[in-house]
Amino acid sequence: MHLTIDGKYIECREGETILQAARKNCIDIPTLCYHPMLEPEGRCRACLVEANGKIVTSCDTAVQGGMHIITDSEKLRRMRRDAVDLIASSVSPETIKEENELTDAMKKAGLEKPSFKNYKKLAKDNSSNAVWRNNNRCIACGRCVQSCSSVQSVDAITFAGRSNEMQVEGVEGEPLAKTACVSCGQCSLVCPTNAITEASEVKKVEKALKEKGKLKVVQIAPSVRVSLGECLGMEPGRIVTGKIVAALKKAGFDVVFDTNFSADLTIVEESNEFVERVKGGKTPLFTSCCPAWIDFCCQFYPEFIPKISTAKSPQQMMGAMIKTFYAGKRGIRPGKITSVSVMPCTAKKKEARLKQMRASGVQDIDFVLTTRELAMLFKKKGIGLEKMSESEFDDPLGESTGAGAIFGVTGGVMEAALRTAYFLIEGKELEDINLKMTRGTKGLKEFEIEIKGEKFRAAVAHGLANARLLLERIKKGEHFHFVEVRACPGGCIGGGGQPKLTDWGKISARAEAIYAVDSGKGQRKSHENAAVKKAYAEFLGKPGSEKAKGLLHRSYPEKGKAE
Amino acid sequence: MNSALLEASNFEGLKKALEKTPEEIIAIVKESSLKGRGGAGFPTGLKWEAALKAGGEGERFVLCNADEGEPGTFKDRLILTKAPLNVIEGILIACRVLDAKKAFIYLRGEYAHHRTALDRAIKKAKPYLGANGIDISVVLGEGAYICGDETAILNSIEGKRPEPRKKPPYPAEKGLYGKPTIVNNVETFAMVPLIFLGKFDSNKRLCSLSGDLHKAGVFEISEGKQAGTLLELAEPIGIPKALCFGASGGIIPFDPCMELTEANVKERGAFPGTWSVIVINHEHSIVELCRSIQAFFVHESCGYCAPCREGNLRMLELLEKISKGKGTKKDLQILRELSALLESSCFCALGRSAPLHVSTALRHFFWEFEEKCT
Amino acid sequence: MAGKKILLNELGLEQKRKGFVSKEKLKEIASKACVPESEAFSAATFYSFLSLEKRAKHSVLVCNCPSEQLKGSEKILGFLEKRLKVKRGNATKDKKFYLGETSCIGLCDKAPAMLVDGKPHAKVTIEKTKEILGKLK
Repeated sequence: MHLTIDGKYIECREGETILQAARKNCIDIPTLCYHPMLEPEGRCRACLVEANGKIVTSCDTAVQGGMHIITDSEKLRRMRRDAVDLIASSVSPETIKEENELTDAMKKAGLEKPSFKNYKKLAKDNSSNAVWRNNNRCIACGRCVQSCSSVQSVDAITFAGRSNEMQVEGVEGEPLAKTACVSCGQCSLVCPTNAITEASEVKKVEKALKEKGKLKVVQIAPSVRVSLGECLGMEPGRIVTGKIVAALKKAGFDVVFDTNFSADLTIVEESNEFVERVKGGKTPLFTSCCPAWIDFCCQFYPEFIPKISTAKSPQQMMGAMIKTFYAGKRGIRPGKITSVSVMPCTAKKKEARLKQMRASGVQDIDFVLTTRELAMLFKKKGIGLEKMSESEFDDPLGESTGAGAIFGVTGGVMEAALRTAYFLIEGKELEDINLKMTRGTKGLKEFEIEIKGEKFRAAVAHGLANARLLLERIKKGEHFHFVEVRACPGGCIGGGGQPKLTDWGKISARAEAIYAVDSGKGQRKSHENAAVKKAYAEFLGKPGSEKAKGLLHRSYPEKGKAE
Repeated sequence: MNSALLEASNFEGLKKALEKTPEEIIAIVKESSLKGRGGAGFPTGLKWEAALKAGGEGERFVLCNADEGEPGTFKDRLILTKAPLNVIEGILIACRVLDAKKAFIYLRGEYAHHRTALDRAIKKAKPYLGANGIDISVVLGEGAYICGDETAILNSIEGKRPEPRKKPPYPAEKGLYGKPTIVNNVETFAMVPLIFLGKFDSNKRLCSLSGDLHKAGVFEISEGKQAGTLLELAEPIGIPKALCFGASGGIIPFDPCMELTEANVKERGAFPGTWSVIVINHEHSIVELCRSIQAFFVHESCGYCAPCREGNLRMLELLEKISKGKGTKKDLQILRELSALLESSCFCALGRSAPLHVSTALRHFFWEFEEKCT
Repeated sequence: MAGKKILLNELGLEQKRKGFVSKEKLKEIASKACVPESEAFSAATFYSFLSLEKRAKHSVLVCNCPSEQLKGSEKILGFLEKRLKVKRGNATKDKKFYLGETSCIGLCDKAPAMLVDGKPHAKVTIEKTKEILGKLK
């Protein structure tokens, strides 16, 4: 099929939109509400073009063969500028003083400042300790509502009221913390104007870094090393592990540990649990590393709570190990350590504050920064990541295998766990440890694996709407032995705390980088991690021991979100 | 008022129609040149044909749009009180076309007190409902102008936020609960039985007249009637200056010799819609009229798309400023630019027609605005 | 479809019964109508005649459409504001009356008109308004 855009002859595919056809050919049309991972809703009207003489929105108009499209005319430029002007006029002045998608659209439209006076004076909603909302910045693009509803099937937020009084609100007008919100932060990931952000802890961390007499320890999650670069001008999928370690030291941290270590630890504990459950006929086992998924399950499917692994998430295992095992080694009290984690996630902020995450007697993790926040911290401190030399993680919680690395991607926890579970049940290693059936961006992946003559059914879901479909099937009687669920599309590499403007192309680039980290490792199975073995020998005993249970496992509420 | 358009059919029209096949009914309705009376004027026969031809399994629906919310419009109110049975007959004929077993009448909340007449009519039609297994439910609106839109009304009945849907697909293909649905206005349905009685005249329709008149009310007009002749019947108060076609149709100067045809109204930049004519005399200000209509749109915009949500508000701010004598010539320019933006960029017909009163007023009564500006 | 309630009708009935729709009731109605709670909430906040919080005992809504304004609806509103000692868009201190404007109520031929507790009154005058108010307890 062919059409012309501004006189240029262009090939296009049936079912494509005008916007997609134009962008493929490097013809830029400004957009504001359009997001490549969501359905176009045509709310902002900034992407107006002329198709066969009619003004249409390019984001939701399908191409037709022989169509004549004009994107660049005096009239269209004026209309798009006016449309952006109306939107820019509706937000608080601070919104248009920073770099975001709105100011980018203003620049493209040639609009220096809005023509009308801003009128919104709305209360902020900082009730959640994962996600904050400020409707004074909101342009009602609808991305967050669609994300919460269609992608996550949580429906915590929606539009309330009408006309210019229409606002995104918690359902029943409740503050976010009192809604069904699972803290996944996908809303903040897609928000074009930072009307929804992570509950910011940058200032707190800056302050903590200046505090004297405390040991400042930080850990970074598997997926942060393949995404942080994007916030700082690097190409998607760039692996910057060593540079982050060096930069964190420069920022004032004394010790940098690797969450990949505790991911290995998680796998050892969880695989052990899986083997026990198989013996006791208590499958399925659901993974527990994603706190947003746990909140989802506890609220919407409480009948499955006993099926969730009791293993803590890697963040919390590391948190417990730092303030007990490591504190002991250093001979200091847990209260003398400031423990920070850098996560791709907003839900981890809430998880760190759960009442039971105090294995050391004090809060195990003091502060959680998202990938975006770490980039902000580096920018504030004038630390140029690109120019940093590479440094190594510190001992003894810095060593990891490839299995820990793939925690960052959908299917990764399943793959890592099966590498170890196979060994535990079969008594020998997998022939090919690259379990390709766990990989890829398909929303729901199902497969069978034979271990010691027995067939095991497994399923991997990412995006909570996909998880819901799976859970409904299980509810109706389908059986799986092992189920991995991750709230965010793509897994943690598509997490709510990841760089903005995330799309499937970037998620795939990050996934490839993660698998490159895995295949680049000498050890690729968690049970081979020497540092993990040492920690068991010196401190924890054996997997599933009383001590391991006390430090590395958790409990769940009977129904409703954990507090 | 007396009008052949309100003559009771007493099931005669329905009986005749039920003898025909759906295809025959559609052919007859097409032949009659009946066009939708809800404002858009789409040929009814074509709409029904599209619904009949729409694919897919399962239910089909018929929906009567009685959400008469256009300011200055009250002809459906009259039909619902004087000839509700004709409406029911029209609905049943549409049900016959689609073999639909479920029909809805969406009655605006402000007409709740006319519900009894409607319920009585439905009761009276019971033999015909029962014989064909059809159920008619009344849904009461709760105060939202946008629900007059044929897709917003679908969302409203489904319990969703009553925002308009993107078209296509049209309701005929994917309507209520995603099923093919015939949606027509009260007057349109009321005309259908008359077609089968040979009493329908496509040149005639009902017109709501209000404003600066002694005898405001519903009048029958035929294509080409002169504006002056029509107004005489309603006895103007003072000297008429302008005709305002509801809130969304625009404002044109009153010309007694103008023949009332859609083409003539369109030529003046306006749109007759449901033929609701608000008469404005020389004592009243066009600027003030625009301000009042603008406030209406700010109140009734659904908020879905940015130009309508934000643009109407800014236009109201400008009109209030001008109305207070604080406006400038530049404000008039901005007003014009915003009208142009809304007319071509809004998501739905409400947004696209909302600025028509301003653009037509600026065209025909520019001096009234200029006078108030510095 | 069978047995499913129409959300809007149920909300309207509750509004008439109680003068508002409480959170609990909204939840209940949503489930009866098989509509997700978030959608029901979003819809309920849209309509002018529905309220999720307790409003005043009586609602007095004066139609503000162009035809009505030509016939002096502003005068009636002005009178009501003075008489009830409240600005439009607000409830009186004793929560007895809510005074507001409404979009066209389809009585332009009998302007000015108003809706009092949902009941239309046509061709109202100041005298008639006094009478109507007097009948409200």
